[in-house]
Amino acid sequence: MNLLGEHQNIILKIQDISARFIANIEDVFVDLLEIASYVYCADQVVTRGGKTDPNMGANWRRNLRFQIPVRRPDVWASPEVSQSLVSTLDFLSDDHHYSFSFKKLEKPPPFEQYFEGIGDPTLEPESIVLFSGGLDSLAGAIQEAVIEKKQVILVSHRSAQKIHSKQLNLVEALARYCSGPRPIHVPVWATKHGDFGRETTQRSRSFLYAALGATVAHLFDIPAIRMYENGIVSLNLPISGQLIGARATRTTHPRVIKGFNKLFSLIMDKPFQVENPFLWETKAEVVARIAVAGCLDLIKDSVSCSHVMGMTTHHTHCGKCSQCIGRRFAMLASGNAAYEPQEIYKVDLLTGAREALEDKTMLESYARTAIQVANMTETEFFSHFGEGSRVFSYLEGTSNEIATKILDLHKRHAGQVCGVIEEAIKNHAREILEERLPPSCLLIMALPEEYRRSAELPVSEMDKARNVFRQEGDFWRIIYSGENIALIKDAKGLRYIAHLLRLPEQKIDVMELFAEFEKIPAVEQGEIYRGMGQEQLADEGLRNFPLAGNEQIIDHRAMAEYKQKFLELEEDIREAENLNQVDRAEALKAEKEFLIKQIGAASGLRGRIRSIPGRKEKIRKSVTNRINDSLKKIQERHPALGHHLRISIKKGSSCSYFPEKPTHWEV
Amino acid sequence: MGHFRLGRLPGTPKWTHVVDLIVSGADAPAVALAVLSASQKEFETAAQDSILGYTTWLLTQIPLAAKGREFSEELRAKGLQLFHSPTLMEVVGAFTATVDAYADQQKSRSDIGEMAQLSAVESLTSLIGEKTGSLLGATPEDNQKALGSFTTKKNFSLLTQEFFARFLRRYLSYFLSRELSNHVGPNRRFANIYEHLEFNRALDLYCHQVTRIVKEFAGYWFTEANYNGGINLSKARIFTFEALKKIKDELGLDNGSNG
Repeated sequence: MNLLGEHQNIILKIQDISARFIANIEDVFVDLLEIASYVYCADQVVTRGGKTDPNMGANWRRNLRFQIPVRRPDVWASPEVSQSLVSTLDFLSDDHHYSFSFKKLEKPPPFEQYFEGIGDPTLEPESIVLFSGGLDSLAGAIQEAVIEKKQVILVSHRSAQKIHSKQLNLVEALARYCSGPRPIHVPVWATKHGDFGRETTQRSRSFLYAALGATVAHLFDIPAIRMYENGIVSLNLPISGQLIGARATRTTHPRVIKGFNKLFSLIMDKPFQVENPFLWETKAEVVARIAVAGCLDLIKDSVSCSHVMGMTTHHTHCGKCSQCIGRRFAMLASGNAAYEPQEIYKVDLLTGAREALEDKTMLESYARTAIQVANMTETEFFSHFGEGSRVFSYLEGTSNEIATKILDLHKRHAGQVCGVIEEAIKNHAREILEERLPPSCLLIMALPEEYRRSAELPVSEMDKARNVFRQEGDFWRIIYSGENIALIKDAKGLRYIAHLLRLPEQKIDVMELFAEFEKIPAVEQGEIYRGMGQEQLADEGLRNFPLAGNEQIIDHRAMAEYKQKFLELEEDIREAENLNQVDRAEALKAEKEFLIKQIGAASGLRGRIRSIPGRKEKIRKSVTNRINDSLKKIQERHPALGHHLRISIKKGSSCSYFPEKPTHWEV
Repeated sequence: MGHFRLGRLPGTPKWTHVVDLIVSGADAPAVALAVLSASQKEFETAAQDSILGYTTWLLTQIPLAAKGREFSEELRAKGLQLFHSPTLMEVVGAFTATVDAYADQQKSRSDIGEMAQLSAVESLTSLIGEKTGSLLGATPEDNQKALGSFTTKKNFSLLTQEFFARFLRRYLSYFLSRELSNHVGPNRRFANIYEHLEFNRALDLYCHQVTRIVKEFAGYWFTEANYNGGINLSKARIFTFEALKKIKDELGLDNGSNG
């Protein structure tokens, strides 16, 4: 990877800072920028193994080795700096190991080439805020620029043009609320050439972001930067069992923040602070801060969504990612939803359908975790979120004080999320009752049992003796003795069982049972199967099914059709002979002869249908296997019903349902 | 800037069977067995995970140190950065930091190791919270006394079972959480989020039942190993291996009874 020269494939440009300040830059900060850029880009080059995480996520953690020429190898190779850098990155990105080898950069290029634009040489900033353009960083900027009237520099990582434009508009709008100095926007363009990035997780991005902020802070001799992030996202306790390690990002985790503090202090050789003033606030509380500042109108211009590529003019938020979910909950919980048009979300938080697996998992897990946390005791909370123990050592205060704050923060957040859901269920009651909401939307998934319609409720006293075996779409609803047992996915065996339950105490020929669900005359089945491969035939339970025409299955109905055709042919032949149509008569006779052969092949003595034992045996086996498969599924779900059906259903050349005592089924 | 990276189950026949079982309404034990069958190789390899072994060893050291007069000093000797009279939160915080440091030092961080260290601190938190009645309100002395009580054969068995039950539960959830949410909603396996939660509770119960086999021998192992020269990392690793083998045997994973 190269930041400079003819093989350059990484771009780093810090914009709009005056040359007067650029002259202040120390070599070690140019090194820091370059190291952070290389780490950020390398993180995107090496894959982490894909979504199935094979071999227990063995590929998730990588070994990343860097050889970087620097201006100050004496600083970077020192054990303390090196250890601090590696330890912070290891935890931040959850990789096996980062290792760095630093050597002297013999001919350092002028650092001015990393800077472009003309900044104000008279600036006297008081604060450096990292500004993503999302809600939290907006609230931070408002806090400093509007409420505290500070001269603030807002440092942004310019990763995509769409986001950059939004950030510019937002800073312009923010400036209109400032009665003190205008905020100064410093976008930093750090990106790689598109052709060598494969991994999109970008867990090390906040190192680049913090390094950019620290460098700008250094230029203005300010000993701190602020990364405003609400506590729920900062601690980012996992909402799902699959989120091991940094699969839940650690962007502003207290250990990472402390790591940045130590690293930047070491390379500056004086104390430096990375701060997150919103650590103990929920996002709804952050929005409330914006409201108190009278800046709610700015919210519509902020962008929190992580799916930048899918952003359109009308839909600036996908509505599906965790950022969109957290943002919309916060807006609703704080009572400020009116300050962002609902239409900015491509999918509505509460009533939008979520069909993709990850989208549904994200929202269901988010809401389920909140519902759980709302009802947890302190012991249950910390017994569930062991990750919480990773925070204690990295914050000021005793562990008990920190634990109390963590618990309180998450309880408040859970209450806010549950409050939004409860309120929305009330507000959408009619749509729920009329089944106008998509089944995969949050309100339907979160609808408590007691509010469900009668069909979903536990069976009433009157229905205690009810037995139901009914197909509902792709599933079968089964109720036995009034007990709602299961929705089981449709299968042929269930259809056979339902047919037998519909006709209790009747013997049904297996051929008839088989043909019942094929919806075609049995005589045509051979033709249907002719087009199938052996695999498909096996799937139909007809392994090695012979396909020759004279082996076709023929039943009474087919025989009657043959005879009717025979009579019609005889009449047509007579008519053709009377009209002296010789050719037509010959053709009809040939057809009649063929038909006689067909009937003869399928008939025994005196015209009885010839039995075809091999074929019937195969079908018998197929039907038996299908019924057994379905009985097994029922048995797993409800042993008593499984037992009842096993002893009551007879399988073989004829099938039947003979219950020990009369049992009525609604089928 | 918080992100969650969600995954998917592999599309192999065994994992498809797991999904089929979820759809068909199979109970928690049946689904759990299918997961363990589909990931049998991974489950067997887990027993050799160095962080899992280290975590088990460190877990044995907490009660032993708590039984001693100089609790924090003894823990410091094991690598836990603690001061005088630590609270339980300080102990579990230091426990996690110590395992993290070991994993960094060994360059052997793994998903199994993560599950193990989280299960360990969650077990301590759960059992001590129950014993003291107030997780954050108990005095350091109460906590030390409660931790020290795990040196008896009976109580160490309880601690060990809790640890392996939570580990097994985390292992199952590592896979199942990629799929279960997809089956929530009308005419789906789980009518709503609450039925999903109920299923998760059934999985918890199942994991505690299955790991009773560990409880039966853990107390005996602890007292004997401690009496015969103390519990070192090597002994803890063998114990961990044996414990997981017993769980595997209990599940019948080798004889194909899991379907």
